[in-house]
Amino acid sequence: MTIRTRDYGMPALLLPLVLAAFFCASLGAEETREKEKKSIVQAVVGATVLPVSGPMVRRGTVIWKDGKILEVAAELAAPEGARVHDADGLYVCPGFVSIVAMGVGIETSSGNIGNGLNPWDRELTIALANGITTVQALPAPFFGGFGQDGPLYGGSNSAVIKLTQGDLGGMLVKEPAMNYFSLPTRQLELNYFLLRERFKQAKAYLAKRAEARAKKATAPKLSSSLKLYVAVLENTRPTVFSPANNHEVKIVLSLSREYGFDAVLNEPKDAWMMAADLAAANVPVLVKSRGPDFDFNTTGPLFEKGQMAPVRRPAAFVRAGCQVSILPYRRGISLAGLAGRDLATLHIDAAFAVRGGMSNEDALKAITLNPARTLRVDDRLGSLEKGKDADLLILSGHPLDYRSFVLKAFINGKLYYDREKSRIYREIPLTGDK
Amino acid sequence: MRLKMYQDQDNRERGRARIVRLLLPVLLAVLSPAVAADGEVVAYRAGKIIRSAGEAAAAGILIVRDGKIEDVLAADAKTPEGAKVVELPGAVVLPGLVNPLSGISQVNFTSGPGRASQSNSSPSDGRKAVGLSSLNLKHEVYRRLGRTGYTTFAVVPNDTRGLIAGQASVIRPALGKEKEPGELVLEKSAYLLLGFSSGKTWYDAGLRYLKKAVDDILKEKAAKKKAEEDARKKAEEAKKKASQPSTGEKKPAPAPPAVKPAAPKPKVPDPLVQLFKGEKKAFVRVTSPAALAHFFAFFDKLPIKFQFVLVTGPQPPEIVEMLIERRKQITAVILEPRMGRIPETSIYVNTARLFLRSGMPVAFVPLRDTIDGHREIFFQLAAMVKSGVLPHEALAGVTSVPADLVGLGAKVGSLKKGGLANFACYDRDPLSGTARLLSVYVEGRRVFEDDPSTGELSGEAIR
Repeated sequence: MTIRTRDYGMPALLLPLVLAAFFCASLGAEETREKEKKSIVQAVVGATVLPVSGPMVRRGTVIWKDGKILEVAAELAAPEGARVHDADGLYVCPGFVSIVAMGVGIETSSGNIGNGLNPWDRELTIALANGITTVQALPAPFFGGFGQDGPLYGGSNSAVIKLTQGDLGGMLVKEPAMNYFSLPTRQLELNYFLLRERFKQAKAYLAKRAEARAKKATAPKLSSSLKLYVAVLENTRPTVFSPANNHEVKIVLSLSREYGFDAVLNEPKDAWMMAADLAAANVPVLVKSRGPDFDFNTTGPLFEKGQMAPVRRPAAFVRAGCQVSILPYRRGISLAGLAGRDLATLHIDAAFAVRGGMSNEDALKAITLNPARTLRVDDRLGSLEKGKDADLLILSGHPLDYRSFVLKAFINGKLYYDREKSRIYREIPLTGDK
Repeated sequence: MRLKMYQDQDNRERGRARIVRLLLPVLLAVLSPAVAADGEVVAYRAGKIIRSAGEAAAAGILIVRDGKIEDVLAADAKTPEGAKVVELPGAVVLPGLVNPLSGISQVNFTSGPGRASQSNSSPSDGRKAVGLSSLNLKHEVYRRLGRTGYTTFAVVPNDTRGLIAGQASVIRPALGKEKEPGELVLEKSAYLLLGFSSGKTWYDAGLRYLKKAVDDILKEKAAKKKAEEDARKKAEEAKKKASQPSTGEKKPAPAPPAVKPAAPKPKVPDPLVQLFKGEKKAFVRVTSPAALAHFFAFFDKLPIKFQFVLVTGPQPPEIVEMLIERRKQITAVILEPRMGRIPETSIYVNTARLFLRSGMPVAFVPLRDTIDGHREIFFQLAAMVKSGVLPHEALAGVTSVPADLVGLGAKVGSLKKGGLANFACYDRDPLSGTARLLSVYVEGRRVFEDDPSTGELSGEAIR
């Protein structure tokens, strides 16, 4: 009955726990500080290395220094004085690259993403724990980090970021990463005609600008409606199209051929029918291995006649020789505590594609090297090769095995995720044979 | 039987306490004067006086003359002759509370200071705005300020969410007779408030403003150095000439009267430049961890740095640690009495406690920047104390620490000789949660008195 028995604050039992957590955090920080002081050679020894760019290396060693890989080879002893991570019986592969992520590592995106990055985003831990070290970050949609699906809107800004938790310095890789181009929503011939007209105007503008530059005169004014078209034609970065049907795929292919820009197709649903054309035009595709998407029409057939099951689509593109990147089923990590978190299981989506007929190697490529190539950052990311960034994972098993855990994740050569220290994942026992 | 005996005893004690509590306000009403005449000495005899946070409460006598504390005497000391004695039996007398950052003077301002910078509206430059200019004495709020136990408020100007929000003025509650807002003011410009969010517009504008200030200082320094060097050269030349043997009768011509450069117009110093020179205090409001990361990323690049008081929200331990490492720049932290959360968990953590344990001074501002929010401060602080902040730290966080932060430590925030006679009387330990505010005095004048017939329900009734 007295007010004394009421408790307004934290239960007393939690106090030691909080204290312990605080001290753990401070210890960890000291370690990283020590690392920053001097560039140490680090090495993973005795692992089954999947470099992606080449064949599997058994009992392999990966050596890196200053964030760059020095050597990947079999049966190689670690150099003297190196910090050695013993990975006997474990797997090592490059960190996964998610070609799309929404609201991950971003606090605000007014203007550009680079100045709105949030290295303290709680979701970064979950992404790292599932092997994702790099994403193409898109600003969170209006509804706030729900990671909804849908077309990527024209003119949207994006950046390639590394998930260096707590470290703003090494986070931004490239901005802007891609052009996002909306095709006409109403598929009328007139709209397609106007689309082509715009490209013509943009080309004319570029010619005028080049002329002005040659004369060292001021560049002519660019109308805002032409900005995106000019950016596409400049081709300093690839352009993403989300075609609704194969007719639009044909339009994109012809535009890309005519104006010589790099097109990327986002979820071309039935484009597997013309996969050979895409491969010939060297157009990468971003596909999901899971589906179909949520549909209110519950009585209709799941797939129309002639459609292909989503699980088989990535393999169909690969067989035709296309460069395939696997998309997560949804783009976010958090649904504010609800179900979802599909970005956290990118490797499972890749494994799904294996069930649909892809090889293990291609599936791993589809979440590492291929997205890196599509984003034009494959000079730094996507595989374990000499001179590339030391973004790598130590896993308890094959990366496509659902039983595997990421044990350690390194980005720019620095340890950013350690399962032993993770408050969530250390509680789950390791299972399965290695 | 035994239990009953104890109950009886308890009830008896409670009954006695109830009588005292009911009689107290009546006694106060009868005995204490509303306004002391000029030059009159008033001796307040109280059961418990907490002279400043951290000191033990002791019975004593507060001698007040002309709104200032002339002395604090022991309970058994003799009151000065001719002094009017006011009895405050059973009351716990505290220094009047101090709010180091408030927008309460603005009628439409309702959000708490720790949350305001979340807005991503365009950054504005209000460096010339002063809190004083946003006061409107016609509003009732200034008179109500005294009902809260707070007697000092540092108020910021209208656009509190700007990148350079403006200069804070320190005011006291109104007594109802003021004609000019200036009469409330203890300090016109106590500090400059800056606020940073993440995002391009804030980043770019922040860099632009701060870099400009730094460049101005560097230019000024360079010009000064050059002027000094020129003067030195001239002096040397003159010396040389003087040492040369004079030829004939030619006397060295008298030095031409030094042409005094026209006195430059007294320039109003740029507050942002003053900040870098250490002539003005800075409060920097950065709320989210991401904004902190971006702010320090460009703050570290500045060739000249300034020290500041950080205004922030509840943070996880990692961020607290990062901030503690910057003790060179951060002199103190202003927090709301709220809990933060450890990432990946649902464990709540007392950010204030983490700061205090590492030796960082912490001042508290109420959760809501309203009259009610201020009245509830001890309830919120009690929750902080339950999760690890020490009682004297909580008390210091609303008295001496904020007083020092706004630069008025000698006048307010504690009851000492020469300070203003600002004090609040509670009927028991204010952190107990059931404490009741009995009366508030500002510069020796009573601005609030609890009315037993219409006042709040006492702690007894809540139980």
